[in-house]
This record gives sequence, structure tokens and C-alpha cells, in this order.
Amino acid sequence: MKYALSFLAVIALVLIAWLGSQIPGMPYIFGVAFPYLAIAVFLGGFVYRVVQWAKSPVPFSIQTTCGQAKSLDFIKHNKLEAPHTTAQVVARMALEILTFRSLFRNTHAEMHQGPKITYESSKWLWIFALIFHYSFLLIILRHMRLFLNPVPFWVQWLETLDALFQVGAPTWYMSDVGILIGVGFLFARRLTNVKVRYISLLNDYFPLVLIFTIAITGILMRYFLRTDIDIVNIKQLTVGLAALHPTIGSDIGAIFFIHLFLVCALLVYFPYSKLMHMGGVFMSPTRNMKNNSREVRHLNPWNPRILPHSYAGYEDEFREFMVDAGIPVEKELPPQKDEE
Amino acid sequence: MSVPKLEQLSKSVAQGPSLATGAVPTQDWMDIPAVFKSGNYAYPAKKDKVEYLNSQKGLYFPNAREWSPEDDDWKLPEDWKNIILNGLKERLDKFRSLKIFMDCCVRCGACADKCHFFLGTGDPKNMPVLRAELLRSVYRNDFTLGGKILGKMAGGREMTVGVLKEWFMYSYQCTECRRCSVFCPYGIDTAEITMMLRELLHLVGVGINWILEPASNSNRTGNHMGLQPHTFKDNVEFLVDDVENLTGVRPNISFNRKGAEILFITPSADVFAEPGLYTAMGYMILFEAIGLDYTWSTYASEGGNFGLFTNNETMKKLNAKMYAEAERLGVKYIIGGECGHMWRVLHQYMDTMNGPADFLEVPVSPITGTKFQNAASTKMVHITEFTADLIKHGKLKLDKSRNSHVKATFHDSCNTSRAMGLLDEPRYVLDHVVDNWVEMPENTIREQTFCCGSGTGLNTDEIMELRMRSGYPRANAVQYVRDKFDVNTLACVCAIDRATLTSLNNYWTPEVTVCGLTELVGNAIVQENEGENRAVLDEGLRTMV
Amino acid sequence: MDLAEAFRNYRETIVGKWVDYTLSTYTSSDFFKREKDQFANPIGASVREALDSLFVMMSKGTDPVEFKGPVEKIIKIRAVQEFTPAQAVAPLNAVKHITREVLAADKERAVFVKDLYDFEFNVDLAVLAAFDIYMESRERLYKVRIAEIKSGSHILTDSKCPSKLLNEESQEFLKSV
Repeated sequence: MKYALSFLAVIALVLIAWLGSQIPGMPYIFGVAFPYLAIAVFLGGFVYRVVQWAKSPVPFSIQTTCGQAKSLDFIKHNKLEAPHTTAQVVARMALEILTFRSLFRNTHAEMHQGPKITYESSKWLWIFALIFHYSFLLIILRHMRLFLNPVPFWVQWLETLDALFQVGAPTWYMSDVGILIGVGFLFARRLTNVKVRYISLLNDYFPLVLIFTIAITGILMRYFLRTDIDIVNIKQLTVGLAALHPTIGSDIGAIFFIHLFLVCALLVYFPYSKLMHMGGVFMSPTRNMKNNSREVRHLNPWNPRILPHSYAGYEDEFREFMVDAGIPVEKELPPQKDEE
Repeated sequence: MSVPKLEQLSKSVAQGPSLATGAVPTQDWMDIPAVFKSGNYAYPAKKDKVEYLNSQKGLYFPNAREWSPEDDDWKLPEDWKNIILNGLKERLDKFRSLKIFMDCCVRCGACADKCHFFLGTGDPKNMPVLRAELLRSVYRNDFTLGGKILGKMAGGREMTVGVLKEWFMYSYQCTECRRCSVFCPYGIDTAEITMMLRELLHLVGVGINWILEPASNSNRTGNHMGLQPHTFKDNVEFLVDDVENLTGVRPNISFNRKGAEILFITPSADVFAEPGLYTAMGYMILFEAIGLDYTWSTYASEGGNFGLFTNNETMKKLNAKMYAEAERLGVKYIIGGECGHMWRVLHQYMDTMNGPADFLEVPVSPITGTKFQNAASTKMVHITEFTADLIKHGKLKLDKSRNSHVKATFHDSCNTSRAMGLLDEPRYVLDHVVDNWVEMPENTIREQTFCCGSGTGLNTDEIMELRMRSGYPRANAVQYVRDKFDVNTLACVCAIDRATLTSLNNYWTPEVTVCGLTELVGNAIVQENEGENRAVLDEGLRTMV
Repeated sequence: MDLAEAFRNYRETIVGKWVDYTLSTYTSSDFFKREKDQFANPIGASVREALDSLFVMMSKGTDPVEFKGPVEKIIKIRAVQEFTPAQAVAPLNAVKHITREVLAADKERAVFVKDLYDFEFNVDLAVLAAFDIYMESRERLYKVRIAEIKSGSHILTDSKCPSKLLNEESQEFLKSV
């Protein structure tokens, strides 16, 4: 039922935007006030969360090594999986963040007919996660054309790249297809993979449904409902938003307000949700630390002063036995006392 | 007619969560309480052990009492809930890892079938993600905006006695092996979560005896076994006699000797329990062959550190003995024996906790002159690093045929592989001491190695069935190489492995014995002066003479 | 058409149901029953493999001594799970009912149901073998426990002063265990 609830929540958001934007005077709220508010919450929240994380120290060097450490000259060091220098850590993190290295490693314990149990590589999650994230990134970058005037060359360049296949008119962007496929897979996987379904929360379905709806409304505007919206007015609004003197024309179209409102919802939701993995992935101590903890001392700012049970105390307790056994002691036995 | 019969039969089939088998629990995991019954939990810590630990400076082990997990009333302190929540807050402020791991999980499920406890028991709460959710749900409820507003809808839940019991159950069904962390796209390490859960539980006096008793032994007598100095010495000397009887050469040893060049520390199980004994004999043969100037210590006679399984304060206190003793004896550096969690502490915690060890020197092999730059600050060298270097420089005379009775495979222990990156040194050594050895299947070795199922102080016999289940993924791989390549020996570099894999193999693959790597080295070494006195050793150091 | 052929034709169906029955302990909702790609693991794999070869053996009338191999594979696992002895062994019996059910559902082959005597007798033999193996496994488990005590690992608990274990009396005791 958790996934149904997410649909309900998103439908409610759509209705609010659709009906709300029809009320005279409200377009300004939906077109200007909410976006500014959302951006503020997003930026403020994001920074707040990262600062909150950064405030807690990393007391111990807890890198996870996934390959051979640097040790003796003749033992081949795996620089990416057990990084020893900052450059190697950067390379490891880059692979992790840009190519989802760890997911690539994913294996799936599978039972086969016959006497073989294998842990086969299972790359589906990796592929679709990549498709989803890169499509999303591309779409966000493409949207820069709306906020910048003149449109920078790199945005046009990206658009050309994205429309490489030239299917349909207006040309379908690969990223538009990609994000739908990506989100669709991730959602379907949550429902059909027994284990993942069992662990999934509302917090997991909701962002997927939200992003899916944002993508759908965007696609509707671009490919199907072009006549319902006024692109000139939209661009005027968005450029105005970016330049901090927004003007809002009439007849922008309800579908646009729905799209925009959902994006605002996503921005507001972002810092308070698991979507913060975007920031967290950079700060995960098991991945971003060097495996040189025996070569360079890592410092713990709150290292408590705790002393071992002292040798003196140990020898005091066992001195007699030690002397008897011929183990060297610091203090010899006292002269014999009378036995009781 | 047959259908009702089948149903009758199924009444006799046990009811237990078994997601791993394809069947799915019908209830939400939050609604399934942890049920304790004999055999599924390790015994709680004895009152006197908790009191002793609590009396030690720098340690805090309150609420010592007699209690049983099977009782409804765990005799928690009155304000236990505040203690737990404040404890959690304190730890969120002290450990960035905890905060990030609480916030970043997207529940992608990549970790789910990576855990040997999940694969072996089928209990959904043993999926690493769900184990973390046990804590995360409470964190959400009390420490996040969404949780405070939406509560259960946002995956939050109230801290209750039931939740606490669940924490106890599942933080002691995790061996902190970090296999899940390898596969997590954010590197979320369940070991960190388990450590925090265990730290929190100790705040209200919930802990297990198999961990706290060795920890208190180690504090008082220097080793987990509780061997007093004279007994420790007797044990080692007993092994010296054995080595002499077998090889004809009596190794020189010394204890607490000031001015020795090197202090040697290994898990005390090596001098007391089979089959670690043979590994200890291997160390002595090796050091004798190269004439190493080293000493044992009775005060720092434990390499292992059950503090790692308790809380960071205990870990620090127990670990501190090593440097203290090295300084007192005036050695140049320390060599550490084969052990998994010991090396986790040495590689990732020791220097931070108890360094800097300015009174020691950067380790240099006295035989080859190799400088161990990778241990420049901690000043502790792993025995296989040391041995591999000796072999590389041709300083050991090895006769592989002395291991001709062995057809080996190599088990990476969790900690040395995933918290240190010690993968190829032992393989290099193995290449030079046995004629043939084979690897287990690809996804069960190196950084993807499966735990023995009994690490982090879970190697106690009251949960033997549980251990056999959690060790099954490892045993299954051993079975495979046994059937395919006639493997008869499982070599490893971990004292807990030596004990627990022996039990695991005894059940699943009785034909396969377990040995330490240095035992095989000891078998293969040709001593210069061994002469006529060496017995015929068909089974290496295990030969009965 | 004869019974042997019926067994061949229905091998997959029967074994499939048998494996499901053995593995599942929860009543699953419809959705999960439709779930084809069952999550699997070493235990699931061992069970599937063993039940399949056991079914072939029993339906072909292989020498019952051979049953021991596959039965051991299953029972050894079930002996360390949280089952009573009866619960551990029960699923083996289920194949009788499953086979009858499957054959009865096929009109052409329903006549073979009366010929199942030999097959069902083989199932009984397999169940008897399972009891032996269950006991063997439990005994082995206790031996593992004792071996731990003997090897000294056990010293980690229940010992005020471990050195006392070294004294002759204890050593004698350990030898006698």
C-alpha cells in the first residue's frame, strides 16, 4: 500500500497545482513565490545537512579495502580498490560517483538446476541506475536554456548530443526516454523483487513517483501539448526568475504550473530525504579514506584518555608466579614474611 | 483427498521467516517481534564480569545483574529509553559514519543477499539493510524532521523494549565482516551499525558473556584465555618441547625480555587451543630458522581484542598494552601473528587510539633489510608480510614436499581482506610452501570472502546451530573445492577462523582440516642444523611421534 | 504410456512443487506466488538439487542405498535449522501427496495413481534414511561441540581460573569425554 500512497500524494500535488493556478492571482504564487521558496529550502537544507554531517568528526580510519593494499614492492598494489594516496582516493571516488563502481560489482546468489551454486554478476540494477541518473543530469543541464539568455553553447551542444537519434518531430531526447525507463525499472524492481519490496518504505516509492510525474508532465509539454502552453511567456518567467526580477505573463498553461510545482515539491523534499545520498556519497568514510592507516597516523579529535591496566598492577598481582617461573620482573619479591 | 493430507503434514513444518527460500513473511518486519529461545542467543554476561569491567578506569559497564534474554523483564534501568536515545545522540555527534549511514541508504537492496547470516538463516532482519533499519527507524523517529512529523509513515518507530530486544538479537547475528559494505554504492558498512548497536546496548547492561569474559580476562591477565604469566609460559614451552621432538631443533624463546629487537604478539588461542597450537609452533620454527632476536610477553600476551566487539573505550584500553609493553621492554618494533580482528584493530585503530609510538622505530627486517614503509607509523608488521619478504629474498630454505600431504585452499578472513587489503601476501607465501593449492569460487574469496559465521565473539557453543547456518555459504564453497579438487586443508590467517572453521568443517565437510598459514611454513622450513634428529613427519607438525 | 513416462513428463512439475513445499514456511500472498524468479541461496540450491536427484532415483527404483546421498544433503541442513526432528523430516513425505495430486489432475494419467505403491514405498525408505541421517547429523553437531571443548577453545568461558584446566584431573576428564 506504500506505493499506492505515494501515487495519492503525487496526485494531490498535481491537483493543487492545477486547480490552484487557475485561481486569478495565484499564478504569481505558483510561478514565482513557490519556486523561490523551494530553491531557498533546497539550498539551505542541502547546505545544512552537509554541514551537519561535517560537524561530526571521523574518529577512525575505517576504509573498506576491496583489493590488495600497498605493502611490499613485489606485491601488486590495487590502486583503485585500496587507495594509498589522495589521487588514488579521488580516482576511486570518481569511479564510484560517475560509474557506480560498487553496484557494478553486484552479484546475485542464484540457484541453478544441477549441482552448481553461483554468485552471478547481476548488472541490471547498475545499468538502470546509470541510465536514470545520467538522464536526470542531462535533463537538468538542458533546462539551463530556460534560465540563461543567450543560451550558452554547451547547452546547445548537449541538446544536439541528446537528440542524436533524431526520432520524431520535435526530436525526442534520449534523456527523456532514459529517465522514464530508468524510473520505471527502479519502481518495478521495488514491487517485484521480493526482498526489495519487503524493505521498501513510503520514502522509497514517493520520490520515484514524483520524478516520474515530473518527467511525464515535461514530456507532455514538449511533445504533445505544445499548443497549450506559451513558450515565450515561460521563457520570460524563467529568465526573470534567474535574473531576480520575475515577470509573469498570462496564458502560461496549467500543465506548466503542474510541472513547476512538482519540481518545487521535489526541491523541498530533497534535503530531508534519502535523496541526500547525492551529497553523502562524497562523504562516506569507508570509501573516501586512504588505506595508509599504518603509515600515517589518523587523528581522533575526541580521543579519550584511557590507560591500560598497568604493567605494575599486573606484576603486583602475579609477581610470585612470575619469579617462580623465571620470568623477569621489575621489582623483586619482598623478603620472606612469616607464613600465616 | 490428498490436499487436506498435505495441509496436515505442513502443520509440522516449522514457522520461521525465510525470505531466502522464496517465501515471504506476510507481516511487515516492524510487526514481527524477536523471540528468544534456547539456541538462538548467546548467554548474557555474568554479573561479576560486568562488575569487574565497570570497576576499571575509563570503562563504563553499568547495570550488572543476573538476567536472561528469555525473561520478559530484562531488568533494564528505569530511564533506559533516555539512556539509549542520549547515547545515540552522543554517537551521532562523535561518528560521521553513523550519521551518513543513517541518512544515505536508498534501500536499493544490493546488500541484501550478500550477508552470510541472511543466506544461512533466511531471516529478513539479517539483510544488512534491514539490520540497519532496526536502528534507522528509531533514528528517523527521534532525530529527523520527516520522522518527527510523519512518524511511522516515514518509516519511523518509537524506541520500545521490543525494539531493544530486536537490537540485541540482530546485533549479535552480525559478525561485522563488512561484506555488504563492498557492494553498497555508498559504502554503508553494517559493521559500524552493529558496533553502535552493541555500544548502546552496553549502556543499559545488555551484553554477552562470550565477549565480556574474554575482555575482562584480557584486561587482568593479558590474554582472553585468562592464562596467568607462568601458565602462559608453560604453554609456550610445552610447544617448544613438541617442536624439538618433531624437528630435532629446539627453538630459543624468551619472555618479557628487555632489549630484544622485536616483540611478538599473537592471539593467545595460538598457544592454547588446537589447531592454533601448530601455527604457534610454526612461528617458533620460522623465527629460529632466521635467528630472530625477539621476545614473547606475558603482559601483552593477547593479539586479539574483544573490545572491538564491545565499545571503542574497551578496545582502546585492551589495545594500549601492546605499546606499553613495547616501550617497557625497549624493543624496536612489533610483529603481529595471524589474526583477523586483531589486525582490524592494529591497522585501522591502534595508532589513532594509542599512538604515536615515537619510542619505536620504523620496522626494518633484520634479515633482509627491507623497510616496512607501510607500517612506518604504527610500527607493527604482519607476520605474512614479514615472511613473504623473507621468501622473496631467498632467506628461507623451504621444502614443499614436506607439505605433500596437503592439498590446500585459502580462506581470506573478513578483517584482513576488507579492512586491511592483505590478500596477495598470504597467497605468495602459500605458493612457496605447498606444491599445489586452489582457489575457492571467485565470488567467495578475496574482498568478497565469506565469513566463518562465528566472528565478533559469536564463536560460542550455545549457538552452534546458528553458527552452522551462518557459516554455510563458506562451507558450501569449501565443499565445492573438496569435491572438485580433493582439497583437504583450508589455510587461513585468523585465529578465530582456525577455531570456528574447524567446527564448521567438522559438520559440513569433515574431510577438510583447518590450519594457519605459518603452520604450513613451519612444515616446509628446512633448519640448517636439523640433521638426523628430525622425525618422519607425514602430517607435518601434526604428526604423532 | 506407462507410469515411468508419466514420471518423466511430470518430473519438473512434481519436483518444483516439492521444492516449494520444502522451502516455504509462510503462506505467501497471491502476488508472491506468481513471483517466478525466486530468490535463491546456497540452501535453496542444495535443496533443489537434492530433491531432484532423489525424485529420479525413487521413480526409477534405484537401489535405496543410493538415497543416502541426496537425503543427507537436505537433512544435514535441516538438522541445524530450528526444526523438531519430525518437522525436519516431514517434507520428504510430501512428495507422495504431491505426486498423487499431480497425476490425478491429468485425466489420461489418473489411472496410474493405483500403481504408485513401489514409488511410495521408496519414499518411505527415504524417510527412514532421513531419520538415520538426522540423528547422525545431531550427533556430529554434539561431537563438534565436544571437540571445541577439547581443543581448548571453550576455555574462553566458564572458567574462573583456566590454568586449573591444565591440572591432571581436568586433563583426565577431557580425555575421557
